[in-house]
Amino acid sequence: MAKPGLLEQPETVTETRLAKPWNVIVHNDPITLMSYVTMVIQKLFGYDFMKAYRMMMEVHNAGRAIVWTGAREEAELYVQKLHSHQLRATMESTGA
Amino acid sequence: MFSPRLTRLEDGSVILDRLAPAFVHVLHELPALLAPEQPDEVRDRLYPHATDDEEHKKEWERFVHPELFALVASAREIVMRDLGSFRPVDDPPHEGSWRLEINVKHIPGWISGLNVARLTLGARHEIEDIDMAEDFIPEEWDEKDVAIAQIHLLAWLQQLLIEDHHPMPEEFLGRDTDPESDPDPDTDPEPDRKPKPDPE
Repeated sequence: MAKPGLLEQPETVTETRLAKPWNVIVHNDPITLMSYVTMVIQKLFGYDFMKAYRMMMEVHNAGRAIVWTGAREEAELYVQKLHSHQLRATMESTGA
Repeated sequence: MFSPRLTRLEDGSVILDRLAPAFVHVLHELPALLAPEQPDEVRDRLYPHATDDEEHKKEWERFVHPELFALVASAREIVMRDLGSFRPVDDPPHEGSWRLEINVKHIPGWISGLNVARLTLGARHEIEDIDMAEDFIPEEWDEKDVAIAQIHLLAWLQQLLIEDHHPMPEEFLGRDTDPESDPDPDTDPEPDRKPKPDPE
């Protein structure tokens, strides 16, 4: 009966790949009031007034602003909430 | 001459009175502007997508759009309920003006409903930034000009309700809100990485 031979322990390498974060973007539109955009950003993200106001101004002046960055599932939830307040919002992968 | 007035009741409800008849017509248009049957350009604006990915669009239409439809329907119901008590004032000196009472619980619905109505008008008439210039007074009014005037009138009411329901913090009142002039280091323009819970 043959003796079992010793096998070399295979080397295991664990590589953790973190998912790329996603940006939530609010886009400008000519109708929505600036005060409404500020109110919605403040309410949904819990930002203070001035931070929300700055983001609204960026939307107004640049046409768009990143209002949040993070995991895809949360980004989807935030875009959904922004849509429920009729803001033009999209999400983009930062790795795209 | 009518000078609209907003009065806040003890429970937070508001009364809008001294509303001019021209304003009355616009408010009576709200149920139609919030109705579910709308042309494609309105539906595209009110029910957008989150990405350009076709698969994701299908999922968004399946899972998110029904909720958005329901929210607009709910705002419409609230607006219609309050418009039921919308009536002219008989007492002098403001007889001929109209009075509207909005229950405090209905104010978010009104703010949302007014926004939807304004967006509906904007999408129907393809209104752009240049059309919204405040000093624009047409010599001859066409349908688009009337829609722009309606959008501004509804904005006036929406702004009143926003200021009443979600006032600017006292420390910012009367302050120059130009972000470039803000010395506060806590107002970093970078967005927070950690979301705070939605208070809703």
